[in-house]
Amino acid sequence: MKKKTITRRQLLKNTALAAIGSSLFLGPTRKLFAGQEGEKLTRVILIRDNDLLSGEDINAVILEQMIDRAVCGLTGIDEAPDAWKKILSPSDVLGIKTNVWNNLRTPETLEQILIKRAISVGISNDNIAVDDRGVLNNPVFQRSTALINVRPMRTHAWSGVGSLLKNYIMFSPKPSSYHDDSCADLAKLYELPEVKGKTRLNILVMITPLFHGVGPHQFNKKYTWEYKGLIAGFDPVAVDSVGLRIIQAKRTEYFGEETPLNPPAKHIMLADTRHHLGTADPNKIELVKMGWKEGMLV
Amino acid sequence: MRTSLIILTIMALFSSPMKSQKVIELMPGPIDGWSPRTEDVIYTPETLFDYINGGAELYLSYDMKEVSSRIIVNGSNEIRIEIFDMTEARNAFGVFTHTRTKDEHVFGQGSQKFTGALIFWKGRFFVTLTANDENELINKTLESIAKEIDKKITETGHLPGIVQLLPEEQLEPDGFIYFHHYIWLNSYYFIASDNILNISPDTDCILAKYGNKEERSFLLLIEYHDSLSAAANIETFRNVFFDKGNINGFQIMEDGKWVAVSGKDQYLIGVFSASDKEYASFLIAETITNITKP
Repeated sequence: MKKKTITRRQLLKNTALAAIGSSLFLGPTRKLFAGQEGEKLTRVILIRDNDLLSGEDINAVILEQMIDRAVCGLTGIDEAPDAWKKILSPSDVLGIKTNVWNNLRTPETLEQILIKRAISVGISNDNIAVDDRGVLNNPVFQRSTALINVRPMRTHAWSGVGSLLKNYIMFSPKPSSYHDDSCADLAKLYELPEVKGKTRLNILVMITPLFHGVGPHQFNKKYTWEYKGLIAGFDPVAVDSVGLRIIQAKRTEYFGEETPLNPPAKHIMLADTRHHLGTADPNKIELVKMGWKEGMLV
Repeated sequence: MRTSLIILTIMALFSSPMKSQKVIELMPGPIDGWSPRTEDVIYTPETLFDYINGGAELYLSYDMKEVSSRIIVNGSNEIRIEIFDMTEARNAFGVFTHTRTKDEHVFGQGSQKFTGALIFWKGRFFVTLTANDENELINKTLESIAKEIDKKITETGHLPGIVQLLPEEQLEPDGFIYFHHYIWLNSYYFIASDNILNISPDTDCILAKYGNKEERSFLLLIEYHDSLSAAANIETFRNVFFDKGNINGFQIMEDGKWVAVSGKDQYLIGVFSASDKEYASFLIAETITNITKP
């Protein structure tokens, strides 16, 4: 596959790349190009609740309501139990791909809610597993028919951000083989037999995202903030694209000037333009905003 | 800035190490009230991925040789001590410029204290001390450890010569990053997704911020192996950023900002986001003056 170089000049000109690139690389406030009328949009739900956190504790009831509302919004079905049945079926074997990075892991409360919802659909407890680094050896994941991809977004020293796309890297027996060119081709992970065609739901956890990294382990609580949100969608590229815009916007707000991620999270754009896995173009995303609006940044 | 660089260079000339120090020898001794939670562990480029989830490539892109790591605890306080051997002083300096926002010059050849963290570089070593919190005890201990490691490191290193070529006027204090891996080309400002300017371990690069936040310009300075390589990459720069047929050194972009390129000997000098042609021209002229200074 021939690689296309993207330069700042190209992003400023009216090319096919411009709408995606200008949004993901040049900052979130710029809107250089109008959406294309009549084109089918990819729906992404952004839901927030100002009462979600009490100190560092997550209010499980509110989180449960948020995820149900997001699933209803995605499916267009009013009742949450019916909406979940649209996503999962009783015969499914479900792997919930979580992320256990110790500084900012997927909240266990959220994992438990997803298990509860899967059981409520009729999936047997024996056919549900939550895993991260052990997915390749996990018997449930090995026979899975459905996956839910769930993780927090954070800055990342090599791929720009830890994204939903990057969360599947543990499905590779050799994760470092996806590190070339700052993880440009992470979308290829979706071609792996363990993954291909199985993902039913993508949830980007934006409760306390990390917008800047310092030091070898990247984490400093000073660079997280209480965004108290979730982003959900069927298209991981679109969900990551929305999350990335929020991270970029926060960086601009915090540093007082355009402060691009270093390196840029180009894997999200290339998942669209090179690998055609989904859409990163904000003009092709129907972003449905629910709940708390203050400081939404997108 | 130049005066302090000259002093550091002179220091380096008179302080060549008698023998090559190992990272493990530089780890601090016992600290009152603190006990090691882990033994000292050495990681190499082959094992660094196991140790730093997500951050290994930064150090590998600056040619890291090995890192020693230890975690110490005192009640609920925890400090992680890491000493990186970056093979050459220029790499230790480069990694430092990658992270620091303000060089406080307290430890080693450059240092900065963050919330619950302290970093410094000295010679070919880059040291990071990271705590799980920030309080008086942690702050005091971070400084005590930094002081001890600083004292143990007997070598100092030369700053890359390219640093001295940056024009000083309107340069943001400590507002530059030194690198020789193309991934860091976009550190302050998105320029290109790929290695369009053939940056490699053999090229020295600096990206610097000029002006203030409201009116920011960026200077990119690359030193190639020879003038032919520089000329070829200047041509690429023009092809990528300039209108076809524009053979002078300046181009206005679609956002109203100016981009400019020039060369001198083995150097490529690029300017991005200048508010006008005159300022772009000024930055280039100043850089050329510095290059040609005896």
